[in-house]
Amino acid sequence: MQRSYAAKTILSSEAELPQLARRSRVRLSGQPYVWLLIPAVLVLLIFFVVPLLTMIRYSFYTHVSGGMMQPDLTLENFQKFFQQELYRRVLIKTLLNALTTTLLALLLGYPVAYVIARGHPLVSRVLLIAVISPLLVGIVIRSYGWMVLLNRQGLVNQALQALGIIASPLRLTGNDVGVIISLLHVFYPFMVLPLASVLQKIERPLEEAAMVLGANRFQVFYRVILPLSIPGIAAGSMLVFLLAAGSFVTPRLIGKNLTQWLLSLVEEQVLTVFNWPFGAAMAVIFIAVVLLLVVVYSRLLESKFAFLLKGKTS
Amino acid sequence: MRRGLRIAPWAPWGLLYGFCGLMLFFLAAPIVIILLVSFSDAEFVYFPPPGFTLRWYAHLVRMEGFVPSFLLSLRLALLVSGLALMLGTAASLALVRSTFPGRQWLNTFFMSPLIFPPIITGIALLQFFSTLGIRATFFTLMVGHTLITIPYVVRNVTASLQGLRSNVEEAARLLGANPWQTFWYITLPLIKPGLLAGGIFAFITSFDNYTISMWLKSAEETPLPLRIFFYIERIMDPSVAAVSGAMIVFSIVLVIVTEKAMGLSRAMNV
Repeated sequence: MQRSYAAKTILSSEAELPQLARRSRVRLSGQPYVWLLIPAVLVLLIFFVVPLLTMIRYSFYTHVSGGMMQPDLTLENFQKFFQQELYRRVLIKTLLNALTTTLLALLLGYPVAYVIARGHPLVSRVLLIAVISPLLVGIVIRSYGWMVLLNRQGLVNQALQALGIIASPLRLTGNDVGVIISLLHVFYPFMVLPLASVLQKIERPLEEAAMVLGANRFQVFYRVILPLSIPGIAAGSMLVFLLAAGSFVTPRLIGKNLTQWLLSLVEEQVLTVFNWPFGAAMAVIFIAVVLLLVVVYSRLLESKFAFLLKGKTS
Repeated sequence: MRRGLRIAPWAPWGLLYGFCGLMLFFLAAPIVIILLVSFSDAEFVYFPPPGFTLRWYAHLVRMEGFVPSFLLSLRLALLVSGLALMLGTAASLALVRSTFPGRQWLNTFFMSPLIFPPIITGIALLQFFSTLGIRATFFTLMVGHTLITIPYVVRNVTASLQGLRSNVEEAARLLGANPWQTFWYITLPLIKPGLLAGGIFAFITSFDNYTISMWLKSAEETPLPLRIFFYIERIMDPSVAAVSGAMIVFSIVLVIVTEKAMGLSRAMNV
């Protein structure tokens, strides 16, 4: 990455600084900036950590009709979640949809990330801008774009019909297909960017060495590039999975009320049923399950990573 | 050296470039379609448009509630990006310039509102405020938005700070500047690109936010993304495409500014 070091032009010899400092008795060491952390840390503690802890506490409270709750600690909310088939089903469905989105993003994102890292500089730059720019357009608006495209009379159906692939329009909104397509679009950059940044750091001589030693292109990719890009795959897929599972706007707009998304049920409990303790319990369960999956996944990848590296040295 | 059977060297790249072209098309599709629809001469969202018109854009001003919502979102985003810039820049300075243990952990902590499901952050904040007896007002919106915009500032400003040598600052100090002067005359001008990029991302994040606002907005005032959401859930006429189109044009301008300021890729820390 190109960086302008104005510093270099100002100081011809960096090594002289400590000596200079000692002579002039200016204190350069120490932690002069640590106190600057206080405001931001306080904001995050008070308005992020404390509310989340409060929510965890509420998840053990007892719901009283009329939107009230009592501080009688109970496990009832959690039992309710796991006893009723609906909630379990929606949780699994949400996770599966997020997983599908993640896998698609990885498959469709890897080649693009590779071109960003290794392609012609101009192509790389154009791609990078194209991948990042949608992030600056709000999720509501991008989802609206997909509503228009995936509609029964939308462009996608029209094109498929014109090409003779389908006879009658497909149902693409109000179901998982539409939700996954839109989620893929919304979170695609979060897969490509970490991947590209890891791929960029793989040194070209490694590939050349493999080629010289007789590996063909596919072997170079499979034995050298792929194993070395695992940290990027890990970072990208964890991000996309977390964001997709935690999304709300897209499943709501594209999925309508027909696709149930776990976080829509949480919203319903809090806004419509006024059952705050149960809503809080659902949120807590959701976060616990997602975090657990992410931890298991990163452990699995780590062991896989180690295996691939070992395979290379043998 | 072995030069056995090899595919023409350009063939894999040809395939890759072709695939990237398709993905570009996919990425641009929903955004381009909105712009097309917003200029459409039909009463309903219809494709291909029978003709082109600017009347939906003219209609915007008369649409009920859209102007106040726009002004609210604008005020909120300006204030929030200012707050996030102050808090985030201070924190970034500490993160980059100090060497205390657990810095990495703290950095992750600052990033966490970004990957945490925003709807849960919103609910937790709403419950927290109502426990304290604080009603949803502009203030609660501001707090929620500041929380989720700090990460963008921290990410961009730390990247900028890491890119410049602290030697310049030390030199200024040695030449007699106090810490404040050093910051104001040396550090600040040098990290301007990072500040600009962080500020733009913070602004856009706040301006476009739906999920946090949905919980923390007051009964009287509705931010623009919420108004658009309610509108498109019910009606599908091109006037909402015009609102969206206007927001897209706005985003395009910001993309260009960010790209010119420090390069989008650096702003995203690639």
